[in-house]
Amino acid sequence: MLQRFLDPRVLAGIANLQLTARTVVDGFVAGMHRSPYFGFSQEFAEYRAYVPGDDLRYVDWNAYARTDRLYLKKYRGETNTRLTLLLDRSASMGFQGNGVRKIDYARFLSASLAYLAHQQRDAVGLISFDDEVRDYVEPSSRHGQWAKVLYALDRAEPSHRTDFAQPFAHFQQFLRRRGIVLVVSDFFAPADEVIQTVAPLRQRGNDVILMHVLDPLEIRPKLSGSRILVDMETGDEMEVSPEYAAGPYRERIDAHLEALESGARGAGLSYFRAVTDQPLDEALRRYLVVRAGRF
Amino acid sequence: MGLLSPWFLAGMGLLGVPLYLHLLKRHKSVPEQFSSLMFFEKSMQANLKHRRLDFLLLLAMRLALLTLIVLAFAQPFLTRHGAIAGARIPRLIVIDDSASMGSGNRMERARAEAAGLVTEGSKVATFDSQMRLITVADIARLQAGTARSSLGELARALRGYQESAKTPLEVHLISDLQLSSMPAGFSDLRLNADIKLVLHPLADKAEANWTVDSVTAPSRVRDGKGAKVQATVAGFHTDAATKVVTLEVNGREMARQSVLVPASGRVKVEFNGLDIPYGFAKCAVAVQGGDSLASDDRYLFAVERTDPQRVVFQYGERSTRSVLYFRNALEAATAGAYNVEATPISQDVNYDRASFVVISDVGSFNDAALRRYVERGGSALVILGPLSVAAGKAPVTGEMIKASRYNTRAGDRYQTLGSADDSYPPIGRAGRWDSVRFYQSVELEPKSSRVLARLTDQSPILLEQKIGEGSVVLFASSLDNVANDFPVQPAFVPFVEQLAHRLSGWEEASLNVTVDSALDFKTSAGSRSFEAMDPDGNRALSYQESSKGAPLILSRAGFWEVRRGAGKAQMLAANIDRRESDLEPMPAESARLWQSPIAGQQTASGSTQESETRWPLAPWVLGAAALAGLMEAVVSSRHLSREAA
Repeated sequence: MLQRFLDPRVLAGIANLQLTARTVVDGFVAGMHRSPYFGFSQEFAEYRAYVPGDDLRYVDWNAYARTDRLYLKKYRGETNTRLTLLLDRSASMGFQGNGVRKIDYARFLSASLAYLAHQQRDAVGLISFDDEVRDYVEPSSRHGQWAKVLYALDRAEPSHRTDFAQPFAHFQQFLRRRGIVLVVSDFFAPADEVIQTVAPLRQRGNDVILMHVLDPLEIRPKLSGSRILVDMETGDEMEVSPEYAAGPYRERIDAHLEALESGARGAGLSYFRAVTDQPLDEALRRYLVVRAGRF
Repeated sequence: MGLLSPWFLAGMGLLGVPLYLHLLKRHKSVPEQFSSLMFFEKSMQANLKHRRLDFLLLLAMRLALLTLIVLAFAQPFLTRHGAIAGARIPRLIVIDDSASMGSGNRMERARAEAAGLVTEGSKVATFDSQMRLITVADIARLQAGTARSSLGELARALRGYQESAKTPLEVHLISDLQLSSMPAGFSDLRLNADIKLVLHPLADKAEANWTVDSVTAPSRVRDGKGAKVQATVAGFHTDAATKVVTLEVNGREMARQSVLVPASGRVKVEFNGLDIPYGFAKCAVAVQGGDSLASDDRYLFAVERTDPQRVVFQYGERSTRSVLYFRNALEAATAGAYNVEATPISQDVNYDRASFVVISDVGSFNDAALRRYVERGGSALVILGPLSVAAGKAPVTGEMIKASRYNTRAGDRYQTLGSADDSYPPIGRAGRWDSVRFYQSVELEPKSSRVLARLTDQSPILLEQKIGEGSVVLFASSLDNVANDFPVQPAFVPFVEQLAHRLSGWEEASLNVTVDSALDFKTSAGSRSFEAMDPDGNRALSYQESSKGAPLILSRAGFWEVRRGAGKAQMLAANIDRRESDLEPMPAESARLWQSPIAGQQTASGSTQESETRWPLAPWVLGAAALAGLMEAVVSSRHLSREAA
């Protein structure tokens, strides 16, 4: 029943990003057999011998009473991480096929992930960019952080062109600590350029997930006749024939997707293609897999 | 290039349909937003241009197809002008010499006009009811005639003349263009395309004219004292006026009356008593002066004064009652114009100077003398009765008699008239004998006789046979009020009167006819060959010519004399057709329309001779339309296949 609410078109009708994120995550969690929450739970991880300087609050006094030795008790929740969402808000993200706009889908996705991370006390931050950094919310696990992220997401409306090189150069000053970097974009740029731009983040010890948001009509455009198409970023016009859209275009976009995926894999990046007519749970699952890999 | 049906070009409005579908409707769509065009290449533009070319080619094909179809309906043609440098169009000058041209100085002006138009090679013709070519020198001697003009006949003659000449023609018509000369339909005035008509009207308004429109007078009188002459005097475009009308006999004024003729109206004048000598008298009723056209002021008519006509009546021993009924009927109807000399068949009779002979049920007798009389142009009435049956054949004619038919007086067992030829004057004018009951008749087997009437059992009752120059009428029943009750029926007297006129030639003794009438006398009872003398006493038609069937055409006004066999003669008075008396010219619009080229019918122009031929283009245009349709199908199928992809 809750799965129904994961449909992007249903979520678009909610029109409240916070409620949308809660709906997604709660529904997603309810379907799992194992709790996805870490850090703050009481799940025992390991014992460690006390060494001078350790915080006495974590000494297991019960063990000391039975064994007369000092042991420190460690839990999983103590290994929190930082999630930084890099949201592409270029003009091309405003494309809308038969379902929701790509930027809306990206915002649902980002909000849901932010909510999920915030629930498990991970620090969550957001950087929205197009041809430069437009908004920055420093990662934090404090109370109210999620609301900041949501507010930033709400402001992220597509406007300018995409330029990965320049904003990613600025990311370096914001991403000093390692964590998970989730890039949400349609990646309308040459695949090697994208990989080359994003790969340094991985090299700095981050786990990088490329969330490739695409509309179904961008992969398989359907034209009933010759149409004049206008590039949403450049404003260029071009008359496109149905036979070209059904032939060469498909080949070129497939090649681009293949190049992007293989390049990401080669650079140690996690790549996931999020099509706007598909539910969000798969994207959340992919995040959790990467999150789990950090332990 | 021209179009035979240019109104079909309105179909060009259909071109708006493909234009709307291709250029307006199809390209109405606004450009669509797309996320990125990075995967579309510039090279594809060439493909699109090619498609646009296809698109425009398809539009062009459709436009061409529609245009060609519409053009084919409009029936285009090419006009080829083959100009013959330096050649001049033959000029034909036609001068109206009808009676109306005698009004005022019209003829003088016509001659002057014609003389001014004559150039080298010009032809000259006159026309009234027919066109006659004359020489240039004849122009100076032209006078107005007495015939009626007919513009319809002129147009027909010009068409025939041009077709026989096979060359363009420039016709100059000099005429008063009377409205009464126009044909009933304006289309009868049409001319060939190669005829250029130039009108030279001699009258621009209607002129006042009085005329004696008609005269009613007996054609034969025994004593002119009781005769009445009635005349109608008419005015055309005239004011009310008192006119003097005179009666002339052989050129002498016999009576005079003054009458008030209403404005543009007519009035009747009656003269009582006609004092004329024996023989034919040339009479006329004339209205005295006051107008420019004098030729129609006199109306001619001929009257013959004769002694009672001698009728030889030979009867058999049983038919004395027939004499009684026939004589009484003839005297009652003709007031003594005929003198019936009844003699038994046993007595010899001289047929000379007999107007006609009646033979009544005489049985077998020597008819050689009578036959000679008939062959020389005499006429005879043969009444058949019981004695004739015994003879086995009809006298003179030799027709075989099969039997005698008897019916009873009881009940309704009698015969009546079944069918009759109403064109035969004694039947048509006297009325049918529907109430006559025939109880007894003679059954004939006609071989060379014409059956004029039959009884209800289809047996012939009245027949006529031409023998030599004369004719014989057979009546297959007696006139004694025994074999039938015809003698006591009302139809009997007029029948006898008309039959007597027919046999004696009374009906043809004098005729009043209009100029240009043609008479052939083929249906007359008397001789078929005759000699005709014109008003000047010259022979207009000889016996030989008339025996070959040549008709007598009364070409001009005056008294014509016709001499026939057996001492018979006729006098004919030919008068001007009174339609010539109305001097109103045709409307100027009609004149302009007649001489203006209509729908390219009259294309001869200037003085250069041009031969013009039309080459129809419709088949070629249809072929081109078929080709365009084929190409449209090819291009559209290619276009559609790309759209489907």
